[in-house]
Amino acid sequence: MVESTKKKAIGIDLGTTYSCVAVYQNNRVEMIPNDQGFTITPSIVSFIEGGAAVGNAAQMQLVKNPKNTIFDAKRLIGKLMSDQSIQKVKGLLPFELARDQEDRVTIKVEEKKDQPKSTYYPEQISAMILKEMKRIAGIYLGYEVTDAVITVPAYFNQKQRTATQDAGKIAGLNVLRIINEPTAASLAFELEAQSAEDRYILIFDFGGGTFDVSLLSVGDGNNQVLATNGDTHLGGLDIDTKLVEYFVVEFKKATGIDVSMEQQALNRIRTTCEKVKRILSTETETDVTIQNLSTGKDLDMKLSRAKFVDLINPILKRLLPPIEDVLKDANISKNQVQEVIMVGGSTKIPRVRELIKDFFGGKILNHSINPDEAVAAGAAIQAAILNGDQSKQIKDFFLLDVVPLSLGVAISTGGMETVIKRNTPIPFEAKKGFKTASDNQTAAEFKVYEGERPLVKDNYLLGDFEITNIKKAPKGEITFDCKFDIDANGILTVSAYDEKNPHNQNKITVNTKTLPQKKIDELIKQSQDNKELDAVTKTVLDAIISFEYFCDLLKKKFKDRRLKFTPQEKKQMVTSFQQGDKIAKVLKDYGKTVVGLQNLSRYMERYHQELRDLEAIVNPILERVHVAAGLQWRGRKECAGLLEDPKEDQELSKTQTCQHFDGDLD
Amino acid sequence: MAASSFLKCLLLTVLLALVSCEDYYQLLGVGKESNEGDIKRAFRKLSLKYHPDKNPGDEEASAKFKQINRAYEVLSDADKRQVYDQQGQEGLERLERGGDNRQKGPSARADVHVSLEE
Repeated sequence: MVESTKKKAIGIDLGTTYSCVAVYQNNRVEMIPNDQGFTITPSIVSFIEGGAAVGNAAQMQLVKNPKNTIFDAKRLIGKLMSDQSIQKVKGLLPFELARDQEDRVTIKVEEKKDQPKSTYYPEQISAMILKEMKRIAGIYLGYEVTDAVITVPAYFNQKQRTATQDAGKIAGLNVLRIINEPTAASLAFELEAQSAEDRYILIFDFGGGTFDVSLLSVGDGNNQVLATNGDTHLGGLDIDTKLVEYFVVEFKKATGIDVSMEQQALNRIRTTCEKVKRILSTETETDVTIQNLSTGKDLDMKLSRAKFVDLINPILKRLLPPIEDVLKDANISKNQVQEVIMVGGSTKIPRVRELIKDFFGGKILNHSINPDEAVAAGAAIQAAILNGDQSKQIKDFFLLDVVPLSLGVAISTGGMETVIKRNTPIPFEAKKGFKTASDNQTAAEFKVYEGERPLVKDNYLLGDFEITNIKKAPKGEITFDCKFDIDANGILTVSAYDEKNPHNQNKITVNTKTLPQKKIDELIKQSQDNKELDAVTKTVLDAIISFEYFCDLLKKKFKDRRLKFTPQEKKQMVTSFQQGDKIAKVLKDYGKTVVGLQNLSRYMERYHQELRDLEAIVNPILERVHVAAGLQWRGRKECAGLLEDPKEDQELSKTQTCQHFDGDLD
Repeated sequence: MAASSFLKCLLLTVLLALVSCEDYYQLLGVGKESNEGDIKRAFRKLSLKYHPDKNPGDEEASAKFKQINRAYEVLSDADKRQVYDQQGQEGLERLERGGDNRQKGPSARADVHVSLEE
C-alpha cells in the first residue's frame, strides 16, 4: 500500500543502437513498451523540417534523410574532436561532425532548408532519446517520472559518465545514479536467481556499440564487482561495417560501380547487412539482394555463415583478452567461474557463443535473461534500491560497485602515481604523501588523471589545482598530504595540504564536465520551455513521416516486378503518388503553423482525411494486382509484410515495421 | 540551530578520530585467526548495514563504510595482511609507498610544477 503513494524511479538502458526502459513494481521488473508495442526503441534522432523525430519514426529516416538522422551519439558523448576514436569514425558517419571552440564534438544538422546548419552536442541528442524514454514511462505509469538510473558501458571514463548524466538533466530527469551495464545485467540475473550461495559470475556483454566484461562475486543479496574490462568501440555496428566493406568490394567486382562515396547506397547496404547478420544466426546461408543499388544495378549474391565468420574474425579475436584481464585482475582462474551470463544482441551470433564456450572449457553459457532487456531490468532494480523500495526482495539486496579506472596524480617524471586502484569498491578514501621536486619550489600543481598507463600523457586528465606560497626549502623537504575521496556516485574530490603549514591547502571536486555548467543550465531550460510544444511537434512529425512513408510504399509497389498493372492503373498510381508527394509537402508546411492542442486536432483531422482519400484510389488497384499475382494486399500493414520476405528490397530493419501506422491511424 | 550543528560536527569529528584508530580486525568484527571466507562474509554483512545506498544522507554511515572498505582492502590481500599483522599500520604504509626506503628520494616522490616568477 505504501508502494502506491511514492512515485517510481525508472531504469534506462541508453544503448548505442537501441534504448530500453523498465520499472520495478508489484515485486517484479516490468519492461515498458513504446507506442509501437516494442520494449526496445532505436537510439536515433532525425531532424526534419519542423522538428526532431525520435525512435522508430527517426529510424525510418535513416535511408531517406541520412545527413540529418543521427545515430551513434553514445560513441561521441564526452569526447573531443581530436580523440583518436573520433578521427577514425568521422568519415564513416553520414552526418557532419564539427568541433566547437574547445574542441568538443558537435553535430551539424539542417533544420530548415537553405538556412545555416544548427549545431548540437551529443549530450543533446542523448537527451532527446532519454526524454522519449521518460515519456514512454510516463504513459505507462500514468504520472510524470523524474527519477532514473541510467546505464553506461563499464569502460566509460569519468567524462563520458558525467556527460551522460548531463544528458539526463537536459532531458528533465533526476539521475539517481549512473551504473555499469554488465553490473546492471548481473543485478537482473541475481534478483531472479535469489541464491544464498557464494559464487563468481562473469557477465559477457556484447552489444550494438560496446563490449564489456565484468566479474562479480555474488550471494545472499550482495553483488560485489571484482573486476571489469572491455572495449568502448566494439559491437554489432562494427560487424555491420565489416559486412558493408565486403559488399562494396563485391559490388564493384560485379558491376564496376564504386558506391563507397554514395551515402544512400551505403545506408541501404548497412540496413541489409544488419538483417543478414540476424538471419545468419539461425541459417547457414542467405541471399543478399538489393534492387537498384546504384545506376540501375542490383546487388545480388549469397553469403554463407562460414564466410561471415571469416569476415568478422578480426572482431572475434578482440573478445578474449578482456576476459583474461578480468580474471587476472580478480586473481581467479576460469574454472572458478560458476556462471557465464551472455548479454547484448551480438551474443546471438553462434560463433561468439562457441568461442566463449570453448574458452571456458565447454561450460554451458547462461542465456536465461533476455539479452536486449537485462540491462534496463537491472537499472530498474538499482532505481528501486535507491528509491528506498521496502519490498522484501529489494530490502536486503544491494550493489557494491567499483572504480572502473585507476585514479592518480602526475609526478615530476611525467609518470602516474596511482592513489586509488581500479576495481576498488566505492565509496572509498585514500591518502598519499608527495614532496617538492626542486629547491626553493614555491608552487605545486596537482594534476589528477584516470587510466592504467604508466605515463600520464596516455591517461585522461580529470582536473588540476595548485598549492602556492610554499615556504622556500631544499627539494624534498616540504611534504603534501593528498587525499582522494570518491563517493557512492563515483564523484571524486581531491584535496591536498602543506604539512608544514596546514592552512596552506587547496581542493577540487573533479570537474569532468565536457560542457560548462552554464551551457547545461541553458539547455535544461530550453528543453523544459518546449514541453508542450514538443508534444505537438511529435504528433505532427509522426503524421508527416507516416504519410511520406505510405507514399514510398506505393512507389515501391509500383516498381515491384511481380505486380502487373494495366496502363490505366499505372497512370492512376503515378498520379496518386505524385499527388501524395504534394500533399506531404502541404502537410509539412501546414505542420509548421500548428501551435496549440486545438490547432493540432484540426491538423490531425486533415491528415486522416488526406490519407483516406489517397487510400480510396490506390487500395482497389493494389488489391487487384496482388490477387492477380497470387499475393495478398494488406493495406497499411503491408510494410511489415515486406520485411518478412528477405528477397525484397530491405531498407527496413526488424523494428521499423509499419505498426507505426496502426498506432497513428486506427 | 547553529550550535547544535556545530556540536554534531564536533561529535562526528571525534567519532571519525576514534574510528580511524580502530584496528582493522575490530572494524570487521573478526579475529586474527579468521580465514578469507570469514573476512568476506563479515565485510558483506557490514556493507549491507553501512553502505550509503542503504543509508541515504547519513554521513556517519558513509564514513564508517569507508573505514570498513579500507579494512577489507588490507585484510583481503594476503601480502598486505601479513605486513599489517607483523609491522602494524606503519609497516603497511611503508609497503604501500613502494616498500622500505627505496623510493624515499625526493625526485621519485615529487610533483611537478615550479613557478618561474619567484
